[in-house]
Amino acid sequence: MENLGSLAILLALAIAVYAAVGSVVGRVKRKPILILSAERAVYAVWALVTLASAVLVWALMTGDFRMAYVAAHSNRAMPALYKFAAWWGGQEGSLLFWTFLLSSYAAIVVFTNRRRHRELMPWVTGTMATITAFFLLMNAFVVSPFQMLAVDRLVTAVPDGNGLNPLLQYPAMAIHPPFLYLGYVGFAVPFAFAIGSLITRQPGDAWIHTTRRWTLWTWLFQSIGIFLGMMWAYHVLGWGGYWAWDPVENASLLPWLSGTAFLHSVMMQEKKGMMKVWNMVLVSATFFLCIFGTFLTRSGVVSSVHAFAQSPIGMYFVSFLAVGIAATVYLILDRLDYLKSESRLESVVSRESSFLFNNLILLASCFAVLWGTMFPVITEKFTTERISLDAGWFNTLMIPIGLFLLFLTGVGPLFAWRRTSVESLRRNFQWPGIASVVLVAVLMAAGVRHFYALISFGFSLFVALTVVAEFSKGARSIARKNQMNLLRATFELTHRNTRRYGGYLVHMGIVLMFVGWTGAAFNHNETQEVKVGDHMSLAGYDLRVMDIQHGENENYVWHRATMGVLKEGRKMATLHPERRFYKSNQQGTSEVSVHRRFNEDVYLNFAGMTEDNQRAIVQAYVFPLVSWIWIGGLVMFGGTLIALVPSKLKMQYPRTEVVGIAKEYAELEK
Amino acid sequence: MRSWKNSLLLTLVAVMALAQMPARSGGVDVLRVGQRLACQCGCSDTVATCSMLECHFSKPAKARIAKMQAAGISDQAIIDQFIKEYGQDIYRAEPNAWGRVIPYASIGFGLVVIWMFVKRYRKPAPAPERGPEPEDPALAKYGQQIEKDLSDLD
Repeated sequence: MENLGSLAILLALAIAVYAAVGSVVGRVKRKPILILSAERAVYAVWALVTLASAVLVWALMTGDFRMAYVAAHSNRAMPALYKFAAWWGGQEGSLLFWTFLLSSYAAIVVFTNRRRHRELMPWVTGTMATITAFFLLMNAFVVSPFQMLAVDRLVTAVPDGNGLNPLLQYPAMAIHPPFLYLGYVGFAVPFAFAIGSLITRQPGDAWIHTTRRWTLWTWLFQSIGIFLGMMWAYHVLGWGGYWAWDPVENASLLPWLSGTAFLHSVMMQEKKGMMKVWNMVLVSATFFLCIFGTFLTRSGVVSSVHAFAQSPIGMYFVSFLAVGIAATVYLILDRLDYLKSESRLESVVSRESSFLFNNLILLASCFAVLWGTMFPVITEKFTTERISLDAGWFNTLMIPIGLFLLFLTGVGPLFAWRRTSVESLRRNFQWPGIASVVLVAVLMAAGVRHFYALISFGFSLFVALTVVAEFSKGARSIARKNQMNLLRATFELTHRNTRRYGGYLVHMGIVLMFVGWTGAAFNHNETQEVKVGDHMSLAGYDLRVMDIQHGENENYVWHRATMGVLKEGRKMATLHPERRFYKSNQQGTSEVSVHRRFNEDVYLNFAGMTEDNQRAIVQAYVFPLVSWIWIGGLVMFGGTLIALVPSKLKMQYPRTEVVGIAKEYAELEK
Repeated sequence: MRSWKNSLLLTLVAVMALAQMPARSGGVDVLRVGQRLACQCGCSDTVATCSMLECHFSKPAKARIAKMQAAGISDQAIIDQFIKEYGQDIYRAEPNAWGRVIPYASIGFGLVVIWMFVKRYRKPAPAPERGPEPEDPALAKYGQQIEKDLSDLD
């Protein structure tokens, strides 16, 4: 079986190289048969990578412990779901999984565009096949998942494997990496179209229209991936929070931030024909940040709690990044004439300007995260001193930037395209502004003294009210004109311009998430050694230890506490925090138990038993408002899905003045 | 009216700024030393900031630092002791100012780029329509003289 897997990867590599070369040569020499053959090769690559993946999954499921990867990441006791998830649980398997997703995307792109964009497609195919070939090269020669365990040239097997890292044995973790990878890999599609557009010197924005849905889907997958990662960190990883600015977390955030900037600035190109160079830069930067993120996670260049696998793949990734970035920069500089703006700014106080600021802040956040992640490495290189930048350092830097971004989320959409009058600004901002100031005053009167928390709550209300006002204005107008009730009118309004109102819902989701993050300013925690009958007090809660049990199954040994949560004498819940010790890899984990409420979570962690084995060490936390992060995430995903639905009405926006290279086309059309 | 609103806003901002209470806790001396020592639990934080629930290192280390401080041992001596036990890798120097300056400088740079973009792509304001130029009295006087001379020529 392992030979079949290796052979499939080698064949896929050869065919991917053929697809890359064939599509380019076919386009340059104008040989449609060669282009068609290259496109068919993309399907063949997908079939072969799928076969290799199936071989690996089969080996994981059946426990073929002759294979090094299976022995390292699976064992007999693991449930089937985690045996399957072991596919992406380690270095070699996760890179094969990446290749599988990439080849699947390439096959879908080639299939859905088999009759469209015939000028562009050979270059798109060539770009995607080149990226696939790079990853297949890694799979075939650097980090092969089909390496065998051998002693003195004799293939041998261990009786049982190490099993998947216990921290990864959590349902959300089984789907967190696939979503994140769907996002990472997905940005290869808009990037490939952008490269195709650059090479074919297309001055228009066909590539933007074609890839808009791809980009949005990709962004959605990445958002879900990050969101699941936060949930996993909150429930499993055991740092008592959901985001710790760990390098691997940062690696997933970087392309998300630049991708978000791209999703916004792309509107400038669609509606005004502006920022074409910038969009090329952003889509390329996003793709390369995805590759950089993989490099960061896998190369061991930075230390991280969840750099699960490290190997000497760093140099290959650096080389790929260097060549890719150099080629992209050359192409953009060479095609600058074809990327000139088609219109001008009419006023500084306009939607166009708000997009500029939005992009500035998103990119500044992206750069700050990148800088903070790499700063210890850079410092060590130049000063030989080692430094650590902890969550506090990132928070000091990112909170003001984040709050300004939140403010822009509310302000930006209220500016009109072309120009905004002072009267319109006053009308739109007056009531949300006053309500926010009143909220801040009330919170201060109630004793809230945390500066950033006050600002965050104020801005959150401001943005939420502006979004509600936008829906309300439109819906009331439709309800009046069409004699419908307000709810139906709201659906009608959203359907008429799904992109705009889906976008508003995404903004509302962001607001809710900010509310949840702000709650962290008021966290409480307490650690105590307790025995049955003891109780501990925290933030008005009385936590009583009702029972402590222990036991084992074939996978792990466990200790579990049963604790009653009481508030003002009334029983709220019974929680069961658990401590596990996995037998195969001798690693301990905690299964925290959480009592969720909209206003706050009571979060209990069984940290272990005392040395005399008489008392349990229990860490109790109260996390205010944390549920709003998860609710906000769901609203954000809902909004993105709505934005993906085609609008009922096609919006047309006049461009004020056509300039640059597009002017000739515009005059010809006249 | 406007000045009243501005004053209200300014007062509010001032009160909020004053409301900032420095968060000094009893363990501030421990944290000062903890910030110079890398946590050994696998996280990327220091002993002072590690928040891993499973951390086997930072909590005992903090307790030990507090004990040594109570015994009158200097910060540097405590750090040296940890280095002696865990190797030079445990030491974490204080991040220099570049760490914070560069990201904010990038925002400044971005603002300059936006300003240049706006300057380049802003549609020029239409020039005001030119009416008849007001007559200069001196010029009018010369004009009359020329007219007179020309008529004399006739």
